[in-house]
Amino acid sequence: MTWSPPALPTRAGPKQLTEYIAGRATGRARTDARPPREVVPGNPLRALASPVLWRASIHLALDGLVALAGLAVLVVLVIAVCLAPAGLVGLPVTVAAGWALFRLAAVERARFAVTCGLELDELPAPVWSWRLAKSLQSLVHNFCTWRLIGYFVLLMPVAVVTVVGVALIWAVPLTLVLLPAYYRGLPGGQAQLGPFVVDSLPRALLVAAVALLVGAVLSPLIVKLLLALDTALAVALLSRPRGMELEQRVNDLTESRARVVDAAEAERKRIERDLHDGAQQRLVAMSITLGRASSRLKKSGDHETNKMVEDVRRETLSTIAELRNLARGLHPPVLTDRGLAASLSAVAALAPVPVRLDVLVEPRPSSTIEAVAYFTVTEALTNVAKHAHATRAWVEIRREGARLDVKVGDDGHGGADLAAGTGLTGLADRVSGVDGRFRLSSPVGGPTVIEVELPCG
Amino acid sequence: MRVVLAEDSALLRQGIELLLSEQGIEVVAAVGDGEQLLRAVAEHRPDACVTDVRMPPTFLDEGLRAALAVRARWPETGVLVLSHYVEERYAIDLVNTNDNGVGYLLKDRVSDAEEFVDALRRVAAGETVLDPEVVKQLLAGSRQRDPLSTLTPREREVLTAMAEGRSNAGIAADLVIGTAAVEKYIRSIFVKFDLQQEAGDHRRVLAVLRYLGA
Repeated sequence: MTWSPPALPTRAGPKQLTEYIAGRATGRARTDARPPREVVPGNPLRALASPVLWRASIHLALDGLVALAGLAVLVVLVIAVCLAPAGLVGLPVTVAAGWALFRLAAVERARFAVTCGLELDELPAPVWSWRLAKSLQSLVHNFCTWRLIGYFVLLMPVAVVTVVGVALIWAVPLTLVLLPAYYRGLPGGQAQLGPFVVDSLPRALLVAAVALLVGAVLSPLIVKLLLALDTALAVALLSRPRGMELEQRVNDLTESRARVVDAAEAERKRIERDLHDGAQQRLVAMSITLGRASSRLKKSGDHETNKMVEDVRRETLSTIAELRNLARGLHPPVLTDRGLAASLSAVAALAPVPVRLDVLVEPRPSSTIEAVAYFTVTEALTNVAKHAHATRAWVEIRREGARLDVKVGDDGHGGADLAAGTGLTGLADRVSGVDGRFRLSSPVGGPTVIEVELPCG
Repeated sequence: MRVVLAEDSALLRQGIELLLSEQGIEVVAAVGDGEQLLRAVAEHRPDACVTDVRMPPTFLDEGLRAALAVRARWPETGVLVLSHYVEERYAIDLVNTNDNGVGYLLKDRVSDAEEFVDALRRVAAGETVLDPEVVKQLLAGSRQRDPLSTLTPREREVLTAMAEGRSNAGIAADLVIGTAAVEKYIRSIFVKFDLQQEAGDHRRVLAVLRYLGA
């Protein structure tokens, strides 16, 4: 079974994102607020007056046509599959028949919606593409294909019952009701109706009355019964199964979470860029002007004023340094540029305890995964510096196929606790945001080891 | 001295230009990206060029790559790279391809006009100028790579005893451990110092030399 979600921008901007989610939310609300299914009224008089009964009858009468169309598609499909060894002929015909099968199902769902007010959830269609093999694979793997084949196979006997049934329940009472009118023209002036012989006008009138009564009471009931059979089949095989609904919801959520994480990462990058292009540049420009002022004052011999300007310049420089650390903490440009090893070497160098760094990440994972790995290490090392009383720490990052293993350890006194509300909780949250796994081992007395697995497919 | 300046922020470009001209340095061209930097250097053949790391169009290490290209094509032109962030990897790139006539400074160092101009003159004269922050990072990096720091305290004791000329039996007696344990420590030291078993090398002596040299 392959359910292919609609193609989405991989890195949606925040605005796009809200719009997309909002759009999806309203879409879902619409399917939930489904109109109640139309029901043939129980009261025969009301039933006969209700358009529902007549639409249902038309629906049942049309079953035969749909069943015939289904039969045609299935026959073509079977022939195509038998021709499949011939490849060139069988393949496109199989795909075309598969496509027709899903189109017919759509028509059938529309028919149910119009004639019975029954809204069936759309089935996930296979991915149609000009590459036949791909379409075929998608068709075969989509288990809804098999449900549809089952539907149209079962529809054949069901349609026989419904078409014949609906014809009989309307035709027989109507014919009998007309009996008095034909009475004169009956051969031999009499007719045999089962054990009864109709040979006089009053009898013919009696039969007509009984037929009218029985027809009016029974016909709606039988229509209801036949329709229930038809509907049950459609709900069972033509509608999207419940489990699938849930599965798709999980897919949607996984996807939207990935988009949220990506968007947050993009946002961090953007803020870093803004700081870099804005505040940082301005402050540097300011410090340069202050530096120029200072050297002029030095030349003019105004040492008092020069000292003031120098103070301001130094203050500016420390602000720049603070801003730099802030921006670097958001998203270090060298991470985008040169990857984990390069960006972490600076982090290790600036750590208060010696850090042994061992990073082997080839090929590079997505920028979001790189960022999460980077922050795992920086956060862990910050914790080491703050809480662990360690003399040394080590970092090991390895890419194992579709998995990035990040390990950070120290020789401190241990006892780190996720529940204690340190940065570790945020770290674990961030890892779980990309479907990663977080493990912490920190017995009292040490050592502390953090192990993180990040998916990088 | 004639200088070409590359910086994408107009504000900073102007500031640096003014500062340099006040210090008696002629800015022959001030441009906004790496491509223009290369053209300006080709045209003016300056003594040195000053460039930002992050510039259009990629806003990654555009300026750094332009700087490396300048060094490769015009070895007589010194390059001084400025950046908001000091990354040792960029510095290593610079120093590796050409071991002199390059400089790498944090942008805010520019505010000290004399220091900045001095750095620029030294780069133009073919010297190498690195920001103290870079040096700090490089030193820290070499500290991590130093095999001595990877030894355990016990291995260190064994190595010290080896340097004092003790035999395995002597070391075992000193440290009150078995000779097998001493051999195990020594093997581990050889592995950490990356000393392979090769004919003609006395690994024991090499390890001691490594220890003394460190």
